[in-house]
Amino acid sequence: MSTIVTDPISRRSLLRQGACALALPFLDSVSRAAPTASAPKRMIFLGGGYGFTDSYHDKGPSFFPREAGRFSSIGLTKGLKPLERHQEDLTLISNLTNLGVHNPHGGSGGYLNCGEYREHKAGFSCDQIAAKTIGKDTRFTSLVLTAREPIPGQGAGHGSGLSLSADGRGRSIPGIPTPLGLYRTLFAQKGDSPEKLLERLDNQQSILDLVRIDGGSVKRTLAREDQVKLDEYFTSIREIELGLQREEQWANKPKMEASIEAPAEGLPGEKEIRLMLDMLVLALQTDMTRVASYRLPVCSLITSLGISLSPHSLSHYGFDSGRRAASEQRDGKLMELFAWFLDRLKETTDSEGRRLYDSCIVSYGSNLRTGHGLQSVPALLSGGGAERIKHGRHVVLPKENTSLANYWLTLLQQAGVETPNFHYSDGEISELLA
Amino acid sequence: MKAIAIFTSYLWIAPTVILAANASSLFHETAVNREVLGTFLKEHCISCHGPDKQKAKLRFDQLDFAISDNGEALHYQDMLDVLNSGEMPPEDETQPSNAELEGMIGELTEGLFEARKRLASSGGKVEMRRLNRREYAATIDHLFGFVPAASKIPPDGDVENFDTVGSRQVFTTEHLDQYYELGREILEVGFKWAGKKEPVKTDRQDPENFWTGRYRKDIETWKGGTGKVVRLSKMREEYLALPKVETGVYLSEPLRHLAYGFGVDPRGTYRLSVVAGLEGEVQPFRRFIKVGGKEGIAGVFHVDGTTNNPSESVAEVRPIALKGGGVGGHVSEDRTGAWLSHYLNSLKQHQGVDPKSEGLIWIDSFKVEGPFYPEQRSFFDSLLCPEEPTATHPSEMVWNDTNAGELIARFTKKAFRHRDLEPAFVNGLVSYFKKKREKGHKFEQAMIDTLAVVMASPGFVFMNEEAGVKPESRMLSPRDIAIRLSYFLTSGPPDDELYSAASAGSMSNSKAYQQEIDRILSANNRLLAEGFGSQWADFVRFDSISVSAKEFPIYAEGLRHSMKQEVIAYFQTLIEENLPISNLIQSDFATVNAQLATHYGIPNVTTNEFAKVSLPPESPRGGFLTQGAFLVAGSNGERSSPAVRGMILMNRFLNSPPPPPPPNVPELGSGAEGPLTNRQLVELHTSQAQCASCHRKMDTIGLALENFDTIGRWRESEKNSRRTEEPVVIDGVLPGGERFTDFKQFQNTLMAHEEDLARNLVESFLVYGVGRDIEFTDTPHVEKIMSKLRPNGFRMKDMIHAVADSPLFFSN
Repeated sequence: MSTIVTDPISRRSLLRQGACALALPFLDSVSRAAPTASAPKRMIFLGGGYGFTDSYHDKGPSFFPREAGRFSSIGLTKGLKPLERHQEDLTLISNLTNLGVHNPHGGSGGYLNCGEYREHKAGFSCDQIAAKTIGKDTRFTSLVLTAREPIPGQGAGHGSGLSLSADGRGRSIPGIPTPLGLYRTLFAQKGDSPEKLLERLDNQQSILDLVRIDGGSVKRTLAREDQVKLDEYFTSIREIELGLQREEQWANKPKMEASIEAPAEGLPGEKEIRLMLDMLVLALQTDMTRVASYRLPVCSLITSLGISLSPHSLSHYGFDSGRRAASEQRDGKLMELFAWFLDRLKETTDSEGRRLYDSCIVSYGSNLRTGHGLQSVPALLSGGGAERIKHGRHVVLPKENTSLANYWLTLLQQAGVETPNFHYSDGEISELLA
Repeated sequence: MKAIAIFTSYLWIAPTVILAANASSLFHETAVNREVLGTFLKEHCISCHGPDKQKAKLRFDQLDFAISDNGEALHYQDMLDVLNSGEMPPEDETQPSNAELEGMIGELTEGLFEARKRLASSGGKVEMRRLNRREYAATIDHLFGFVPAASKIPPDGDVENFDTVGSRQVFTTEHLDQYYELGREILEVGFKWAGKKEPVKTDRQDPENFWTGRYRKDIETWKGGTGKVVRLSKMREEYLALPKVETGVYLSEPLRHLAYGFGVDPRGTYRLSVVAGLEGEVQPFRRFIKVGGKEGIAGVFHVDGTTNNPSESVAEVRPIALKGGGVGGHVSEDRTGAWLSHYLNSLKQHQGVDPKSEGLIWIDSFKVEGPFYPEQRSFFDSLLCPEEPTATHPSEMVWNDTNAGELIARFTKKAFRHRDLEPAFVNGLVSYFKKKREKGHKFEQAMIDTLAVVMASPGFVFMNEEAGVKPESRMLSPRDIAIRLSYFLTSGPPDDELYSAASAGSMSNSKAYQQEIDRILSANNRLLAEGFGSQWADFVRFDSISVSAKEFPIYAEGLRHSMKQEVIAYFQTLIEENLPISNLIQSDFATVNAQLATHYGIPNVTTNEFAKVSLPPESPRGGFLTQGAFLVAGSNGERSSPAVRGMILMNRFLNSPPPPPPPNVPELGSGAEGPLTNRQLVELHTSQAQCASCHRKMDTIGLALENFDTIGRWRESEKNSRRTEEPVVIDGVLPGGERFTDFKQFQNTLMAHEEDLARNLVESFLVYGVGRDIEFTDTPHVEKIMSKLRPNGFRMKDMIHAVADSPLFFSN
């Protein structure tokens, strides 16, 4: 643990000096990062949970189209219909597989970092890599949004983990689980002044210093293997500290006043999703962040649709016509929400009057295609931020089980993140690029 | 079961095999069946992946048919994956027969499942972990005398088997934050009530005083109205025409429930009582009211009186301690559906009940009485205010700025489970407290903020077992043994007696140690029965099954609650009476309340409490397999699921858990018409080789329970998907080859596998108590416990003693 400075006093004073010495980017009243000549790139990753409904054996397709080609000629399937008004701004990619995920109930675990694959250990998710570059100058390097499910992750179709995002050791990032949590993150709290904020940060730092002392004395009594386990605790302390430092740097730039009432807790699924996405649009618009991931709630969404089946039962729709109808109802609702989010990005402009949509790369997907299938996962892409990707078509990649890592690499490169590879990727996906 | 390796076959044959072979390298190596694999590869693979051609750079003619490291496991996994997804053999090659494919997939799946377990071996090391939700709640209860709402406690994350296994736990920034904030809330409540004692109060409500007048007024207000109010008025007129609206209220169409709520002392318990009777003819399964709210169900009350001779039922409830706490909830009929009329209509359709002849439940009065305090005040209460308070004279807090350091030290010592205190930490806390005071915080607030730091520190949050003087021996200190024992038996920290016993050397004195176990269990065996039983019986699965209220209108919240209580009461009985664990397979008694007795068709049980009752000889009930909690968990909410029931049975009763489902198997039925019965569904499941390799075993066992429907009722016939009745046919074989043709016979064949169940329970108790998975290297210890228990027929309390006395329990 050499990264931990053990003298709290000197560290804090260093931090202070650092905060003063560090030339903060120009900020206007709502704490935007520095304006750039061209619009900054933004990346949004949505999805998780079980996949979509597969074709009928005797009728036609349900969600996944059977043919490749432009939507204007192959048409949209039943499941994709809600996206009709965006069909020229939409790409669906087939034959992508998350090679590092083997859990047939895990649509979300390892989604954005592609898991452990052969000798490759799990690491950062792609949104967190983007956060370190395109997100480095904003108040929040990224927003990790999620929802807590009332049943364990396996049953909800997420698999392991708490969100779509992961840290450098491949551990799931807890994320912001409720609209209220996001509201409190984005907006100024009543009576918040820079002085009060600094005092609060100082108090939090004192608490961390204290628990670290106890951590140290516990550690000395432990067996070697347990000491490693306790490092998780120290890492958490360190991560909170990094957050505190960032807050301290931004302490003089007040957060924006909330324009809406604080959201209630326990909202029905659809409402919860809309509220989260609405606040996300605001955060992007005011440049509080440029990178976000959101693991959508599964249980509360299907409950709010009046479906009484558990998510897992729903994923095994099989030959049961009632279940299949419910499964398609869920698909339709998810695509309706996705279409609505794209509407919001298209109608919103940033501080320079540029359409938000044009700078965004928006991905929607999961590790699971349908049922227990982990191959050829649903991958929807939109937004004008990936300039070399021309939308409006269903692309069937020539190689079956093309690594999802290649896909994330392609998107990162399109967002201007200079990286030759992403974990075990073996190249960008040329079929996507014009 | 085909032999994969000699070590898996011991599950079915003599356990001595494994004890004889002790070469440690063998513990990591898993052999796969050379004959099955070799033949399949030769027939279908080697022409492209062999000495002549090596397509995709693969050749399979030089395999040694043993998996000894992760690299080898990956090769076999690749093979399995392409077979499961149907990629190989390629379409233009000769295809294997279904039987060949099933054999090959089965062999690979089980081999890999075994290999992964062996390769993941931790070498028997217990990983340090934080307190889980259950333990955190019990620890707070122990220190403060009240419990926070479970939803406030940081969640456990993914629990695979038991929530005590540390290797799967994570600790994130969120946890640190949550533990601190929760600690503050708990301390605030602790300070608020310290030194106070409330007098016992009785609050009696006669609900007709409100409702009857209210309905009269509604009718008056809505007079001459149109639309919806016409219907509502009519509903109220019908209500007021009922005979006893002047002396009580009816749970009825307009009056769905009575709400109650009161602010209370969280350290006490309160008695909720309802006086109720039946009006007219009411179906037996409708004679139950449910009382409860955000704390969960407080009680399910049997109404067996009439309106002229009503009966009283009482339940004890503990308030939630934190913000927004207090007691609040509803008294209602235990039913489904928003409106009573909807419910009665569903009953007509599914139970053949005539809604017109159905009567109502009448409530005479509702009463709350309390608080009732435990004999001993909590540690925190008496620490702050040592003098015993009375209802008229509160006791004063004895702490101030001059002795604050001692308060901090004493609290920390207790919270850290008597660990030696680090002066730097206590001094740090004291200066933190002083700084807060200097900034103008009140004493109480500064102290809350300071002690909350203790409650977010590793010394409190983690089970930190010391390495001791000889770390390589991994032996626990007497203090750590006492802590482990206490968390095993009560989910919470040791009491003063156990700490003293540990200091007096009792942890290494077998007789004194066993006495401590008996002392703790006889004081309270519910915490163990619930903590262990709820996980062994997989309540998480049970809770996640959403049963269709349209199909099964009687499956209401109170009934669900009763089903879980039955399992806990059953484990309590097994512990208390030290009964053989074979009772879980078959028993001549059940532990039920009136509601479950009605559900199961057991006569003459009228109590609200769960009690042990003897079963009439013709009853099919008795044993875990006939309990609602298991049967519902083994359904998918619409129909019973032989696959899930079989899976649970193989796991728990045959101690041979099937491998997890593989990815990328094509969905069933994508090319078929829907099957009619469960048996046909199983046949469909086994017609596809990828499914059959495991499901043939699981589903066949699960079919033995087809006489129990989705919600656990006995049935002789099954409604098929075209809604006609077909007789249930039981005919199957256990993996060992024993045939059965009815449920009783099935239970008898399972009895022959009593050893498997016993081994599963021993291993489960070890996992639960020690906090790590039990591995192949632990087998000698498990077998030692087994042979200790065998002569007396594997009795429950003996088992708990033997587990707590095993060398595995004394080391980490």
